[in-house]
Amino acid sequence: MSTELHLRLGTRVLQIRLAPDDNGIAATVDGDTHRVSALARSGPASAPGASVEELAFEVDGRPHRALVARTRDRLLVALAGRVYTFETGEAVTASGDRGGRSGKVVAPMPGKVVAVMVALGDTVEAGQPVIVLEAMKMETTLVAEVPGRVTAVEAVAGTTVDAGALLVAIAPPA
Amino acid sequence: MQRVLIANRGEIAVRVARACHETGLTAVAGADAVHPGYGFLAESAAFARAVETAGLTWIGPPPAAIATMGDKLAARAAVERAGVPCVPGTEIAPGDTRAAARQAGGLGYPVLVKAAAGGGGKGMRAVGSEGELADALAAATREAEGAFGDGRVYLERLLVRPRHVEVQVLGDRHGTLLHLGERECSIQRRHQKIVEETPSPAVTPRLRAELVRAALAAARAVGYVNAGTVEFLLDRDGRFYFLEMNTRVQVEHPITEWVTGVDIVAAQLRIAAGAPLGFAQADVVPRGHAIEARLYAEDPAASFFPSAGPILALREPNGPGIRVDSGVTTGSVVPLEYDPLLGKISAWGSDRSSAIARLGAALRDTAVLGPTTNLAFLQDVLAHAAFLRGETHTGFLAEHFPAWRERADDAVAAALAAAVAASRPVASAGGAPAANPTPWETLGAWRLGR
Repeated sequence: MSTELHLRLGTRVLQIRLAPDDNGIAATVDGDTHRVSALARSGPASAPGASVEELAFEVDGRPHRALVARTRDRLLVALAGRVYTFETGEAVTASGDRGGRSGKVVAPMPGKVVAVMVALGDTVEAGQPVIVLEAMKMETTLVAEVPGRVTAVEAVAGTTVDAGALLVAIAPPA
Repeated sequence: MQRVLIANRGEIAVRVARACHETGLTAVAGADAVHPGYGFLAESAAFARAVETAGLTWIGPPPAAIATMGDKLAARAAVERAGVPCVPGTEIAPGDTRAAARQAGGLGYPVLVKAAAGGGGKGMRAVGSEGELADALAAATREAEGAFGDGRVYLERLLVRPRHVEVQVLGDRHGTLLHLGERECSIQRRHQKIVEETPSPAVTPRLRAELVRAALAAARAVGYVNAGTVEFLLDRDGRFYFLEMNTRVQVEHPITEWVTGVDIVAAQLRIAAGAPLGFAQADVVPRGHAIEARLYAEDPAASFFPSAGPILALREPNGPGIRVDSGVTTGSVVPLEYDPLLGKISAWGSDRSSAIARLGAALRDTAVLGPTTNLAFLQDVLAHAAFLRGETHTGFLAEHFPAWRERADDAVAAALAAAVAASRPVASAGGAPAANPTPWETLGAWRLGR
């Protein structure tokens, strides 16, 4: 009896297979085999929007302690002072180059547009400032990730925008 | 003075309430005294005056001292008269970019545009050449107007790779004014500190004597009473310049408490109640080394942009020589509207390297799930060879961490933890066991060991 699942970490998709045996769990991650042993867990506890548990375990004899929060479509793991955010379910198979550079300048979080520094049809360089956004009383300058021509300017100075809102679109040169 | 209203939020509200309770005071609404924490009210002379006019006790310095030090131009003038060196700088006429360009040229680039009413890096812009000046003046003015309701800006020469060194002072109403040594706070992003330590690795006993003399002279120049911090920039040639005075308790006050044993917030309460400080300069004997890291909900891989949202899970560190000043718990929502400081973790050690090692271990033991935090970034800063050598300056992060990315050192172990957690049902509200336990729940799952 075994379980298989796919977890996306950034641009990487990890294929994991777990099979319990007498000494713990025989695991494979992207084809490499590992032994998970000495598993102790506390929880899960319900937090708003998540189920949280703490795990102590060994991987190939090396001890680890992890705090795991499971939400609808993500597994957040805190381990050794770092956080690993794994996407599960449909998000894993969804296409899209998340690690790549995009011609879409979007609001990284809700805020107020302070200045729009480009106009439709402008040619921009990578790294060129295009939008000044204010959130938490701090101004942040958003820059073009790719060089190209501005094909849309959705942002209006003085208005508030939601996280993920498209502010400026840039088409790379053909 | 019996009931104290704490006019601030987050970890400092918890900190002040703790000191109140230890002193036998109640921290509530309907109070006869006000502690402003370190928020914007702490540096509002108008608020301090209003508190006193209402017949309440203001737990802070005299409003006149707040007013003078709060106006950076007036502060420069006041301390210069007292013989304290200031960074070369000049006032500028509002709106006259041409005149400002001439003045900036006179100071020599790079220059810094600063808000007269400024603080916390708001309304501040570095300008490398004349071409950037007009935009920087406009942005700084706009930000200063938004943050302080006062758009006046001025110019200062930008020192290259200086250290930020500050001196903690305490004064009572009976004529005692003393210092609690220095803190070095050079590790900054957006002109805001994220790692602070005491003593500074760059301050020799002789330099310390000069620094504290200047700090006390600056405080005396404005008739200072209560806790305050005189900030200096320490240039690479060993010269130092007055930067500003913070007329309140500082975020980083715990490290001074670690090495001196003085409870600064309790001292603030005593001073405000009219009591003498109760100790003299000779009684302050710093011991060992202390270092603090500020845990922020922000993304160091994306220009330190703030990250909001609910905290799904939280684990705080503990152990010998570890202190946590925290204002959040599991379920807290990090709001968009405020500085996203989640808490501070500080460590004490007998020397610098043991304090750093302790703090590093404590950060490794800390966990925050939900908003993105700077936790991993802080660990990478503490482990950096230049930091370990004490080669710190205010451009340290820009120089050594220009394009920081989170490392995925333990991705396999983390993925296995995620897979184990995912392969069993989500907890039901009542915490009842699943009707059909999966193999994972029967394979020694509850065995407690290490």
